[in-house]
Amino acid sequence: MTDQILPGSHFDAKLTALQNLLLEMAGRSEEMVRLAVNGVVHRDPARAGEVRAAEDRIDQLELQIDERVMELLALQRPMAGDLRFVFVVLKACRDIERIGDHAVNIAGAGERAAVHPPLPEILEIAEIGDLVRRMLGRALGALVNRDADTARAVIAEDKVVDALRYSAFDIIMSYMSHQARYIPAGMNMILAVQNLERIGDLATNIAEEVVFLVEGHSIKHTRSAGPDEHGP
Amino acid sequence: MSAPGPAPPALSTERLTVRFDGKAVLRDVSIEIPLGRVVSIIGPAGSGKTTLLRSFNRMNELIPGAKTAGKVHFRGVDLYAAEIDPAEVRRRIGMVFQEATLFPKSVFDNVAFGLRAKGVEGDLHGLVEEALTVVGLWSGGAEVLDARALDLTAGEQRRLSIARALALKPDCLLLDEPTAALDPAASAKVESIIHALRHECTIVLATSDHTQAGRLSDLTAFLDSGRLMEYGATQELFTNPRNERTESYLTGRLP
Repeated sequence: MTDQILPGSHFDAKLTALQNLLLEMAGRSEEMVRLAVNGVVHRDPARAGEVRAAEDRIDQLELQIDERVMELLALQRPMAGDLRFVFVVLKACRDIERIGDHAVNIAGAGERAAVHPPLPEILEIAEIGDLVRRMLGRALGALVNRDADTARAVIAEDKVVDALRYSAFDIIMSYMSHQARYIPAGMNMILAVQNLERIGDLATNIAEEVVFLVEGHSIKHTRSAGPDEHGP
Repeated sequence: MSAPGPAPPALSTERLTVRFDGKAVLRDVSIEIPLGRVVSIIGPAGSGKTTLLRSFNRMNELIPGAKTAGKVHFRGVDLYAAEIDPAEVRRRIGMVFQEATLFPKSVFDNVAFGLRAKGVEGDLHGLVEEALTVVGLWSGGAEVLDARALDLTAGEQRRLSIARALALKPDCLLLDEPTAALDPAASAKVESIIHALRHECTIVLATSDHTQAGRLSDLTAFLDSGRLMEYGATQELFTNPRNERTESYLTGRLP
């Protein structure tokens, strides 16, 4: 009787290969964010080209993951924890691809920043950039290690991103309200910050997916993602 | 009159242990099969799936050396009580076996057999044709009724077995590996019959194909070495099993 899927080792190798593709994708998107923020902070238009070149590889990886997930679902019929893993990889892959898109938007802001009269330095931008990249890295680490605690810590950091964003907005608004020549650069920076904030949200999504992977229940759209509180 | 309460389950066992020649094949199994639901029993070969199924209509006692301890209830009635007639039990709780058990007779005679044994007299055509219609074997042609059962394809034979059980209008239907050794098209036909029957009776099926359990059943029970390891809503059990053995079985990693 054919009640077993396939020998474990063969199937496990396929799951590991899928995970490695996702890790490569995440690593590259993290690098895209780093380059793009660098371009904005240092008003360096050359970074935009590097970011766009990296996006092609992200797109290829997304297609490869889609294809492998379809194959796994059709031929291996993953069940239980394996099924949750494949489901989470597919969702995280979408999130990472979107992070790449936001990095491209930020890179565009870097190009425009180079031609605008410069704003005084806004430290929050580099800080948000570092934070969201760290969130992404930790969310992926939590996925690999099936670590719901780290995933929850990532989710909690999204509040810090939000606070930094509003702080950056206040500073940019005050520059713009004092000197009209800062308006083009200020608008541009607001767009960059907004894109960084979305990257934080997407890293949070991945962390929520990791909690689902480990614990088998979704914590999305609940008031609190903390282990001791329950949403409505 | 007793106070109105929740309807008793269609079938239930309480600390059921079944031994064959002293060897326990089911150990301490307590399970409730709710009325009108489809329940799958999954588990590795030798886990006790068929034995549990057979205990629901007293088929195990036909096996020499079988000893049953614990309780089995049908709608709250103790099935193994002294005054209970096993033949009546098997009429109300029908079973379709894994092995073909058709007689070398016509399609009509195979379906009519149970009806005659039950003492139904007169023209059986209406009842036989109704049962054959449900399983998609009859659409008005007399030649089907006269066909030799053993000349049918494997898939048709399985459907005929189901029709034979259905002709007696059972309250519960027990199906042992209903699609074993059938090709995908024949399996799909049998599965769609089971799916349609969910409105007619309570169904318990034992299957080695856990994807079939996923497709057909409201609830799934996982048996391992004669023990009920986990039992619950099929979707929950398949996506987030609570028991490590269930997880290992479903993901093909059971040692």
